[in-house]
Amino acid sequence: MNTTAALLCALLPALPAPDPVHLTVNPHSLPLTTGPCNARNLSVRLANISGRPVYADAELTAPKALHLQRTLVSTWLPAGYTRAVPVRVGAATGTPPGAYVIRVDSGSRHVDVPVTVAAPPPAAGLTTHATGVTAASFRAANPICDAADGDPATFWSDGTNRYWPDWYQLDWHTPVTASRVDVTTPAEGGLRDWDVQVWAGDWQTVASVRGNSATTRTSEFPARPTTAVRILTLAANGVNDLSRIAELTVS
Amino acid sequence: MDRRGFLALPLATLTPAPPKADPFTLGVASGDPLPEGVVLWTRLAPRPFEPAGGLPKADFPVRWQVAEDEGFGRIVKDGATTAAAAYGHSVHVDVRGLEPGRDYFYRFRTGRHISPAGRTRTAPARTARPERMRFAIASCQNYTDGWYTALRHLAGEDLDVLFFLGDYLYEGAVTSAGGARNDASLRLPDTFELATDTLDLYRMRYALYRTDPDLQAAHAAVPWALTWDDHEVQDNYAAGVPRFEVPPADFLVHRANAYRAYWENQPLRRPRQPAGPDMPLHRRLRFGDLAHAYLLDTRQYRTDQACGDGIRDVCGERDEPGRTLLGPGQRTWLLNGMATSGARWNLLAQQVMMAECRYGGEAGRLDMDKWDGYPADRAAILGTAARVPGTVVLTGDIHFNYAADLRTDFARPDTPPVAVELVGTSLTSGGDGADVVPKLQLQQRFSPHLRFTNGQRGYVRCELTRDTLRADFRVLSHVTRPGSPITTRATFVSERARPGLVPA
Repeated sequence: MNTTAALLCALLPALPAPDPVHLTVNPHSLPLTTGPCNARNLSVRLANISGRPVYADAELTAPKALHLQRTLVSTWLPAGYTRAVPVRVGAATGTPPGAYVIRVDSGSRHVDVPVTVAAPPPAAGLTTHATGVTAASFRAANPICDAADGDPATFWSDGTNRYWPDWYQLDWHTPVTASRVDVTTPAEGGLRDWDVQVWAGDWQTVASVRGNSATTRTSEFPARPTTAVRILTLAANGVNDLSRIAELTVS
Repeated sequence: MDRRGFLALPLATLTPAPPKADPFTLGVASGDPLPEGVVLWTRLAPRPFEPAGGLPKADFPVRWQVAEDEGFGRIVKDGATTAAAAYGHSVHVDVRGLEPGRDYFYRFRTGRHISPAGRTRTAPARTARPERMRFAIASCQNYTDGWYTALRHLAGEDLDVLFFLGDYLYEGAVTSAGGARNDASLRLPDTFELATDTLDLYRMRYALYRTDPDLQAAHAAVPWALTWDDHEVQDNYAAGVPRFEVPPADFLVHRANAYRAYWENQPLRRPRQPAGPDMPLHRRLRFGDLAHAYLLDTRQYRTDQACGDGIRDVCGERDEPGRTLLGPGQRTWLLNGMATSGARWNLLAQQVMMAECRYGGEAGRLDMDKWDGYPADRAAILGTAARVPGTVVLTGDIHFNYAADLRTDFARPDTPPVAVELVGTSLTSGGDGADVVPKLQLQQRFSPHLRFTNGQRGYVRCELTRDTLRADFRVLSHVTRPGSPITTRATFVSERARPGLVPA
């Protein structure tokens, strides 16, 4: 360092160190359908571009109309390491359609993610139109919406080993007409016995499945209006430990 | 930059307005008693179920006091410290200059808010020859499996120290009503449905646990000396090997986040702080010449479980040379300490069952996650115990009570035991439980050195005198509803000179 530079350094206030963490968020914009299980993930990526380990934070802020499952990501990052954390973004049934923005901050950096909210298209299935999706219990790795997300590779499972029965339920604010239920269950440890029930002031069993070993099983019954359908699970294949449903569709 | 510009920003972050709502929602704690001091702990969280406890990214000044009396009339130490955002607004005060072997009361203050008071007790002087020491062992407090009634009862015991043997928290989903607690008033946000893996989620999970009034009461009543087991990070992890298929580098980041949150949320001294994914947790606490306690860590340094983990009948891999549960450094430290301690008793406060435990079947199956999967380290410890009288192994992990005699060769029940093991049941994990469990009776049949088994919830209360260990297995009738009474299910004693647990 020459004398002039040394003098400058001595006289000038210390400049803030460059941000050690680089923030990116994917996707850059998010189309979102309203409904409890139509949420989408934002991937928040924190890259440590410095030469030493750091603890880093990303904070997310969203308008009240949007629901973020978490609003903070804090993690240790070794030098050169990148951590991507999924953040679930949802909009409840009835959220006004339109454009929203989620802001993600990390250090001095920030990213805005435009979100476009729309109601489910009329042609979408009744599962997509459900205004409530609930279950007796669940596991962190197999959350409730994994049986109502259109993806048969993911499944819901209850959180109580060898405890029966369990239940899995779809609700609608306004009555729908149901006449058929398709239950898709994992090939391993899938559901064996269950009842299909519809709400009519109390739960009425409209179909029963016993001894199932197929991955998808259809139950048909006389069409009826209702505001809720549930699967009452009674037994599973294999060690008969858990209720597992990969997809539940009602039509 | 002018003066005003220079002052405005930093000042705003250096001296934030104190929190308006009560920030002491997580209670207070003390731990790791020394003859001259203890660690005092609290954490600020005015809204404990929110990220960062509802506090901004700012540091808050906190004052603390230590008094001889409950009314804080005779204050013997006080000071100022900081609840730093970078440490999740936790506070650790390593108080020194206290008198050995006596009770103190402590509390914290920030702004106009004063914390609840805690009671603590220093260890006896290093040169003291105490006649008696009272302690308890507790472990495995899955929040979603039930109520912490056992901890409420524990808070009423007169103890010198509580050894907490791991599974302080569990990493899985917590429902809005807190699982089996089915507490509709809880209304947890869905953030708690995520399995903990990042620092923010671990901090929130510790906050949830610490809001429980029974857990707070137990922390406020007695100093805790804690070690962890697996669930503070992830079920059955081994050193750098996760339970699930993820790249090793990713798991070490997970472990670093878990260890950091552990240090922040427990009354531990600064030298125990993690550096990234490494945290030196094993340590020794001395109670005069009566007992030395070794807090062990059987997770961080272990070789991966043999034969793919689980319960195995034949597994040659477990005998392979170089396999270790403690890691070479901790093993050498422990063996040297035991051999040279000079204390009447050596307490090994640790996680997994040391006694051989045969699960039945023709070859007598063994659990690869326990000391049964690491026979070389066990042989080294029991070999030392055979030469140094007074070894007591204290264990958690498996949600059952056991009283076990330890032999250098478990296949020879005719030989005298060299040490004893007390396996303490869970506080809640596993739910209500039952007195008689067929699996445990089967284990006793195949493992005659298991003198007692029980499958209820609770803790083990112990008393050491110069020559005798006494252990009371304290059990609850239920945990899925609050309010269970506590009873002593069994009492065992063991003589220092002739180890072996016998019913009292």
